[in-house]
Amino acid sequence: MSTDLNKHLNCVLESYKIKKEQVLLDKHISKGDEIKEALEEKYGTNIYTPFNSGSYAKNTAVNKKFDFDFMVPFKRDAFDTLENMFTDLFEFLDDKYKSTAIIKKQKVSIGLEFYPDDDGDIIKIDIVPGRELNKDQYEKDNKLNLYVNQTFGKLNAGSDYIRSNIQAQISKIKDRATKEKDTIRSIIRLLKVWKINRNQQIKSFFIELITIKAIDSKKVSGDLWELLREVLEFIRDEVKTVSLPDPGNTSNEVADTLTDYEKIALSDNMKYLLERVEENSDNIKIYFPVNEKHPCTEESKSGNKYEIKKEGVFVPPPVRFG
Amino acid sequence: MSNRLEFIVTCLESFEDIEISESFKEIQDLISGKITIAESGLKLEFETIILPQYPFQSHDTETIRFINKNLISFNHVNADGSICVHTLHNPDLKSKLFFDLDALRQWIRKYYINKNSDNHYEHLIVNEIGELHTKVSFLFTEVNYLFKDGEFGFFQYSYQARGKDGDKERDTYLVNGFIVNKAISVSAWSSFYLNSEFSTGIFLFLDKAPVKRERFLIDNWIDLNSSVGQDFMNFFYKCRKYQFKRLIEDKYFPILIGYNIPENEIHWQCALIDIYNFPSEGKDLGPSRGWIGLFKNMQITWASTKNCSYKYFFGRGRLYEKLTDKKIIIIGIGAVGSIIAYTLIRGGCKYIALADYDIKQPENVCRSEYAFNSGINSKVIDLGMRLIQVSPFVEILPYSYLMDAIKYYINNKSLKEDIRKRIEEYDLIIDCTADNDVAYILDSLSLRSDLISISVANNAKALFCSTKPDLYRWFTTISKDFVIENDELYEPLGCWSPTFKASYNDINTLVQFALKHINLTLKADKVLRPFHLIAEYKEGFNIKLSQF
Repeated sequence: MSTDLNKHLNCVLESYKIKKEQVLLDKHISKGDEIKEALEEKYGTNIYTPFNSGSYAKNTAVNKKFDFDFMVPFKRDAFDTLENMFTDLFEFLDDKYKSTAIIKKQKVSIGLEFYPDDDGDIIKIDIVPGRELNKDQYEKDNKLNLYVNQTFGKLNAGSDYIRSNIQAQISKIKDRATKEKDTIRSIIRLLKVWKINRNQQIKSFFIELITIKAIDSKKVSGDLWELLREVLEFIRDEVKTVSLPDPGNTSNEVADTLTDYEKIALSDNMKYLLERVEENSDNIKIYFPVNEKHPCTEESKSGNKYEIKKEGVFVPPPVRFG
Repeated sequence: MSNRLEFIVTCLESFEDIEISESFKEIQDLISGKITIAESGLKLEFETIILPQYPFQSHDTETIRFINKNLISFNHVNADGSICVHTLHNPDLKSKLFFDLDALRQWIRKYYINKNSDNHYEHLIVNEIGELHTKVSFLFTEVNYLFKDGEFGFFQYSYQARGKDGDKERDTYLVNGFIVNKAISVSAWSSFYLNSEFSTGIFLFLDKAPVKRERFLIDNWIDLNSSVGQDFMNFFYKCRKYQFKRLIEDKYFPILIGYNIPENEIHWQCALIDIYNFPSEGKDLGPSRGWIGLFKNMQITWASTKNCSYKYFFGRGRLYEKLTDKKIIIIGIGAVGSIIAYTLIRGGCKYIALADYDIKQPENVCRSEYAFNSGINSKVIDLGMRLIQVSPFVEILPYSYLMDAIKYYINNKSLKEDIRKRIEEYDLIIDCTADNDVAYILDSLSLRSDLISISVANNAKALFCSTKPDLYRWFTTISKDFVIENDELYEPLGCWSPTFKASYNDINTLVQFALKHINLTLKADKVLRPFHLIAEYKEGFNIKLSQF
């Protein structure tokens, strides 16, 4: 039995639509507002207004394992060092939420994972502190310095920082994703589905930029699978050498957020994905599974055409020996 | 004159620059005479002996000998004066004779005329003769100690085994450690070998090897007099009355004589001292000058020694360091797990824990790495003992109840972290249980360690290897297309646990292929991905690797 690749991929996109998780989305928005207020109360005139900077803001979100990214812009004089800014914010959040969430220092952010609520929903919010690059200039140039807490691709922990215009980052992705929703947005969302289901550590921002680069470089056309295949081939062939300048600061190389080893692994991921799908179209479901919680309409009607239910409940071979 | 003798003489006479200087005769099965060979303006005479096997080799050595005892000090000359030559196989006697004489000419040019030396170090030639009823060998490995010129003391050794070597038996001993500065500097054997019952000998370390004619170990004690000081001679003299725990053949104790060799290595030779015929004596130097100790004019009884350190033990081939240096645990040691364990040990792995609750039964033997002779036994104990027998450089840790304990406590949230930490003591976890629960639990622990799960199915025509992240999901994904409902099952009488039919050859072929892929992937510094192997016989046997 073979799988209609385009039908399947459209079904995947449908099943991962963010609006299908409206309740969870609302909970994130509400918790986000609460944190924003708390931060404004704590830091007063030392911060500018925190804003949503993640995939939700960029219109590229999917509805599984999603989280909110909040950028917290501090004023230049708020802290002597970026490390102090990072530590102070962590201590504040830890103190305030430690009884209701797991708080972790991450690469450039502080992660809050709230304990499951009565519905079993988990709210995850990453807070990214940044300090304006030039005193009192943030509202004009949007430029912020981030603190690198853990080794991040080729960026060393503690010793380096990223200068970034987050607003420019968001608008670049959002503009393209919104205008070219059948191409760029769809491919980015499919790659995020792959990332989530295959537990890849690659940054969403990297996926977004390389997708745009692939589509601009290859001038791709055709149906959804053809588009996706072209992008996967681009990543397979080019990821080891590709340059992905940060739209927020072109001297900042987003490709450096992956080590050479990770780039080789990503290239191999694409190589074997393409080989396996070429070998057997059913293998597309390994890499791009439908969200079993929200099977698409056609799927529901067609009596499990895509075997969605099986994807969540594994049936290991009965006869297997070690 | 026999046809063979006549033919050889005719051949020799037909070669340029070869002269028969003493006629060839056939005595019993040997044909011998003397030839003079002219090369580069020189003439050298060689006694030439041709064995019955000629032109074929015997035990990897040529069956023609060119002997000149005056050439013993030159490179590639054996103790009996025979020149060490090797030529290519040739079944035609005349051609072979021609090539062997050509090899002799090459030796004359290279080593006699040009006095070339080889880049690689060759050990000294030891004349292992003596009155021993049983031949003796000592195996040594590295110790973490830098010996100094003239240093001496006691060493410990243990008996390993008795074997057969030609017409005699041969006892092998291991050097377990040296007592230096009142502490023992132990050899780098695994704890199993170090814990063997030991005997005591003495050692002497010299900066330079005790050598004669450049390449031969001295054969008379008197030749050592110029290399040792009176401190050692006093110590040696006292050893005559020392109560050694055990003596070899009830009268010998060993003395290891060490020396430096290239590449910062040391080598040990071993002589056996007859306590009833001691090779040293005191000499009175006259009034006011006292006595000194000297070695006697006596033949040395050498035992053989072998540097058996990790580098040489696995010198002919081993797995890549990224695998051998890992602390590994294999969970499940049935057919697949035991074959993996054996292969890792033979590949040089140094630390392997085995986890399995099961008991080895006779019917397990045919397709795994167990042996019949150890009876019904705990699998981890049984296999552990067999693995230790293979390599002296591996530490084996058996766990009979590890997975049972993990399953029992895994739902206790407060203990989950302890379980995770316990398993993370290992760098690499290899799950061969084919137990879906185990794959699930290991995956759910989010281990920092490397984790792979290997199993076979479909009558060993398929092998699945799943890796993290998402080990459990990968495993179920890549194996689900290979569920063959009608696997041919073996259900012996009264058996409550049927298995599929597959031979050692079927399973081992796939497991070795998988391990080779894993080893090469690590060597290439690439991510190990989930993969499956599919074997099929279609116009020949093929194994197809698919990575995901």
